[in-house]
Amino acid sequence: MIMIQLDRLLLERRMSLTELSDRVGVTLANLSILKTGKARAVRFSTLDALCRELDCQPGDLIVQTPGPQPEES
Amino acid sequence: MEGYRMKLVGKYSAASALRWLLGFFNVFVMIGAVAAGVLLVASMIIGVDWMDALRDGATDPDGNYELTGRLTLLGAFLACGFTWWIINRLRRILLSVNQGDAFEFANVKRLQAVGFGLLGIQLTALMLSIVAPQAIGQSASDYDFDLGSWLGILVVFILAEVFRQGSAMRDEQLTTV
Repeated sequence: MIMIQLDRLLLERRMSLTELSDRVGVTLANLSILKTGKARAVRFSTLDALCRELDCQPGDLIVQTPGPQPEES
Repeated sequence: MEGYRMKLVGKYSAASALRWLLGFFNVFVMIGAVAAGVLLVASMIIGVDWMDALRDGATDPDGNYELTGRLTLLGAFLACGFTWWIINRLRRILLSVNQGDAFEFANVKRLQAVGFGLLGIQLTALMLSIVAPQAIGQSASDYDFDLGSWLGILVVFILAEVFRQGSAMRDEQLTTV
């Protein structure tokens, strides 16, 4: 499954989810969806903003781990 | 000149007005269903002799007025019941439209229920075309096959499938960050 490693990057940058939400302009609820792996898709614009604010590359954010993708609701 | 544009969602929107109108209409449908139900139960208890007046004096000794009379009342009850069922579902669909969430999955099931309700009305009409004239001493009339009504039912079921896809797209949009 595809995971967004927000926790690790936030910890490394000593940044809270709320602060990231303010900087990126994505709601806390949506960032939470992203963090918990419930998101089904990520817009390039969101990815770009996250990479810009976290000063990283998309590959640092997105990782593929063994296991199935969460079921569609 | 800027033309008048009706609101899409919320108070005073087209969906809201239509929902109110259907709610008003549904009161009369419910009264009809209750009346037909009461008459049906009454016919079980006291028989259908009170329908004699409708027969215009013509009494066929072979006519099964008890059965056809009760089936006519059952048909009236079913027709009102199906109409009530359809209107209720339409009102719920309009409520979701009014809230700006027309493609919620529940609307797929509601549209299918509307389709089945319309199917029920057509089958009730078929039954009534046979039993209702017999209940008042006349011969069974031909069922008036209305292609438009049957196509309408098909359209509703197709729309339900369209909504199923719309619902999947909506879910995907909701989980796209």
